[in-house]
Amino acid sequence: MIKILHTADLHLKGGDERGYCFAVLDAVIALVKAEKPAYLLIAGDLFDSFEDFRDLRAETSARFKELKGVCEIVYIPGNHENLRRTGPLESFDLGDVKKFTKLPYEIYYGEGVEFVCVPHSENYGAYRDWTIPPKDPANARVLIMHGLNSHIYTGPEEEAEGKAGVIDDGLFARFDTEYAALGHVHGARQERFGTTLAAYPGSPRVWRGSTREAGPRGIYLVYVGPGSARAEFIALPEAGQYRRYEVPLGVDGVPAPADLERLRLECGPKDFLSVGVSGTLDSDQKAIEAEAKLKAEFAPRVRRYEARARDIEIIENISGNQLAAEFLAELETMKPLPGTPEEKKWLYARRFGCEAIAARLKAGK
Amino acid sequence: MIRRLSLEKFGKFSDRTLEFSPFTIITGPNEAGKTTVFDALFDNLCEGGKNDVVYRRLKERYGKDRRSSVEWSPGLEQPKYDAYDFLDIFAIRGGRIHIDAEQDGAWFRAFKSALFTAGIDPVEIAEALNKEGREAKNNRRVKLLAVAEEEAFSLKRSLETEEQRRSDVLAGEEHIRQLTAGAQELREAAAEKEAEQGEARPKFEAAKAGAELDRARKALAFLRELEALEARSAELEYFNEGALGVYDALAAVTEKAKEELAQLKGQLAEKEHGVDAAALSLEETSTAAADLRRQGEQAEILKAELEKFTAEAATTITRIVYWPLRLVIWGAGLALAAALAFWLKGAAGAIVALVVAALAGAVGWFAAARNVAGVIDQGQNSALLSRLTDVWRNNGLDAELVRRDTVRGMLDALSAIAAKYAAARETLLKSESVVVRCGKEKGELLKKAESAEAARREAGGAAQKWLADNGARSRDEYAARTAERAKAVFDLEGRRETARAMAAGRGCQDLKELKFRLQDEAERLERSGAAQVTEAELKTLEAAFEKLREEAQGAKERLLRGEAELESVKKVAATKLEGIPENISRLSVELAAKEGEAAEIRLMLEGYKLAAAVFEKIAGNSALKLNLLAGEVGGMVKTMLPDRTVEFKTFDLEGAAMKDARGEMLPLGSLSSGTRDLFMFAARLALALKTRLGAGGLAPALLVLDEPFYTLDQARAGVALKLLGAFQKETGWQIILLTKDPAVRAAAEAVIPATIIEL
Repeated sequence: MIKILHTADLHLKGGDERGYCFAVLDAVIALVKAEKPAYLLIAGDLFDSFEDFRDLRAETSARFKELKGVCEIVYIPGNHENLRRTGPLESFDLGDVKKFTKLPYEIYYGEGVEFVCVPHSENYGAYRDWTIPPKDPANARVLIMHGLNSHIYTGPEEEAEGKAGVIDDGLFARFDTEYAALGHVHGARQERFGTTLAAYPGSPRVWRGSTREAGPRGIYLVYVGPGSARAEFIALPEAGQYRRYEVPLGVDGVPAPADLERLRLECGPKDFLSVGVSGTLDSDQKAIEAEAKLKAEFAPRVRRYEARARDIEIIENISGNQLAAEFLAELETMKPLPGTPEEKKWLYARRFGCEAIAARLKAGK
Repeated sequence: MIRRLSLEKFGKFSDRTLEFSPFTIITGPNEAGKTTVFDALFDNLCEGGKNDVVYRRLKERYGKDRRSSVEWSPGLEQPKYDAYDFLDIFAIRGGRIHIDAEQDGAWFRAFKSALFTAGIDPVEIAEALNKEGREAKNNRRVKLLAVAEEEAFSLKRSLETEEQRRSDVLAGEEHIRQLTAGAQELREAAAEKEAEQGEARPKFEAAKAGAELDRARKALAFLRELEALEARSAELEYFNEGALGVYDALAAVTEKAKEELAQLKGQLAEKEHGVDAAALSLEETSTAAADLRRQGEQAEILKAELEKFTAEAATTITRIVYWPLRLVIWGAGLALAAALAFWLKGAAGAIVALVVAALAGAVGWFAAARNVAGVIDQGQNSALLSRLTDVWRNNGLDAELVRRDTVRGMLDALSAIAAKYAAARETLLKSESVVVRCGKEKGELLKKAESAEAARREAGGAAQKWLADNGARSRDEYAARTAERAKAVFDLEGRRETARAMAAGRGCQDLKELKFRLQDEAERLERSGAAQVTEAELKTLEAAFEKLREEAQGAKERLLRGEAELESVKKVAATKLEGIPENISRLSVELAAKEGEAAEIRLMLEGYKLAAAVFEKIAGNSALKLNLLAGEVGGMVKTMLPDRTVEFKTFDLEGAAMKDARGEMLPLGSLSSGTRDLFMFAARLALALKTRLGAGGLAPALLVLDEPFYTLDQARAGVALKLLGAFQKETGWQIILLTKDPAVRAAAEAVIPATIIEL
């Protein structure tokens, strides 16, 4: 079996995130050094844009030099390398990284493995016209590709720009591949199509901050041979996580202590923390104060802090309403585990209960 | 606020006006009219049915003297009270510990108000939330959910359609692979069949030459047969069916002569037989006639004699006596006579008896006999008959023929014999005539037979001569030759036709040329080594070769079809996948979003139900409610008695408890009256507060305290008044205190600025 590390969607970029991006790259390189695979595959979107590709490739190449003698690096560009592209990618040097940019594909024959390298295209519809030579039965075949497969991932395309090509299910079997190293989807997931194991490792870093980037960041460790492939997810704690919380405020504008405790326990210094407050309060001021308190406490604890728009309904004297207090107290006793559909239901119950009281208070006035 | 109470005629008061301030103390000794003022206030403030107990009580107490009115401060809301609310909560009277806590009672309503802050009822909220969360068609969110699910269903169908299209295209690819492989197989099969056909062709060609040889030889044989047939036909030229008619005519004459002869011979034989029979009959008749003649002649003689005898007998009279009758008559007469003699006795009897006997004798004599004419004497008769019979026998005739017992019998027998003889004689004459006639006819027939025999011999000779002249021994032989000739002529015509067709087919002018040509062909084919093949063998070979050719052609056509289908499928499959994966991806995303939307709506519906359940739980949690109420009341009590705590186990008097001075929790009924009144004072203030607390805040109200502290010592009364003062300050409510106790008045004035009305 040949050992391979598969990553994609690192989205290296300059500016504020540059340090974080290269820290994650360093963590990936460290993992490669530790695992010593035969190949490191980068399935597109190594850079966040063509400008980043152009500007950061020297530094990136320099980092990858550390892997000389450790493994070969095989890279295809994704849709982001083509964002605002002003020149041909093939003319830019990436050092030891084997860069495949020729459309529609190139085959790279390694030791016991054949790589079908498909640089990103907005349309793979003509894949059936590709005349890929038959696979050597002694080899495993790995497809490296960047795009969207709706069988593995059915969520919305979050990228407003740089539309990714769609990878048809039939493509994997057609090219007789054991493993399809895919890029573009930022959450790790894998699916088997006949004899092909197709996998998105997800972005090894938190890129934009979305629920689809929730969970540990990492890369796939792949073992592939003729007729077989398996992939194990290895987390990269250095990348942190995207954590999104909705903090319900009591009628007095104070979050439940258990919620705060949960945040304290879960959030780490590399995390991207997104907090939204909700509730029915006497005044917006209480919500602002609560937000400020949350930020004051948690922003220093994480890499990045985001306060989402408040979901607050203002009802005068709600804090003095005993029924509201009692309702919230009773509801608090049945608070479900965070992140579950039950929590969503609970939050809706909280909101609807408070709204019902608020509506009657308003009507009373 | 009530500014003024006008008592036009109310109980003991007439035309009395009382002016009020926010805190008014009405004082006066017993019977001064404090209770009347209380009742007048009640009458003006409360609303209730005229039949309510409290109103009936007022009526009984005051009758028609119940005219009063209140004047309110302008611009201020005028509170209205339910009579029971007022009496149980807003009218605080010392020593009154009644709690109207039944369903819909004053305390119950107050209790609800205490719990349901600002009058918001959790049951009503739960119902409203449940309504929002219920799976009803008219529910707004359920409608949205139905729309989302319908859209999701539609998207799913579209997605399935696209996936099916995609599957079809991929299946098309598989189809292409299959068709390509199939076309290759067809190509190979066509080549194989082509080769088989190539191999079979020389054999088939040789067989065709062999068949040609066979045909030439057969044609030559046919021509030879034709020639032989022509020769035979010539031999039989003179045999013709028409000529046979001559023979047949001669034969017919012979046959006719034969028939006539045979007929004559038959007639002759018959005639001879008739003659013989007639002769025999004549002979027999003659013999019989000889016997009959003797009988007949004798019978005539005897018959005459008998007829003569009979004629003579007819004239003789004979007396015939009937003896049995005569004896009977006589016997009866004698018996009668004897009887009479016996009966009459005596002489008379004897005379009578004699007379009777005499009469009987006479009657018997005459009555039992008569005279008959023609009666032959039996003896004569028998003698005659015997004699005649002997005569007959003596003539040598059979006596039995005539022996009879009576003359008539013999006469009949003789008549019959005579008739028979006459008939035999007539028959004999006839037979003699027949014999003569038959002999004559026989002679004529013999002559005719001889003549016919001569005619037959002549005709037969002529027919036989005709056959000999025409070369046949018999008619059958001549007919056979004639038939043979006819067949030969017919065959010849057919064969000549065939031969002419053969000649024409080979471009020959005549049969001779044909023969030469066929001989040349046969010789040429024989020289080329062709082995003769029969037409049947050639047909078999030809069918096999044709089959091979058809198979090769079929294989070629299948190949063409397969290649055409392959091209067609290739064209379709090459263009169909375009855009389908993108459509699938887009539809998958839209479907996931729509399903997410539906799931979100379902969560909302669940959220409504959960919130409703919480409110239901709150509404149903009586312990919690009671604790809340206890908290409220306890808060009031603590301002007066800091070391006391209050609890409600159940919402009634028995369920209420409070710690006493020793720290022991006692039911309300077990407390001292002072402590109990303090509790009730606090509870009523708390309930009054909650009752008037609405969504818009605290509503104005009026408290009327009627000797509220008479069970309290001065210190506790002071504490209670302090609480009352704080309460009034907080609520702004108007308070009217009725008391006869100057100490209470003084203490009250010290706490709250008051208007004093002395009655």
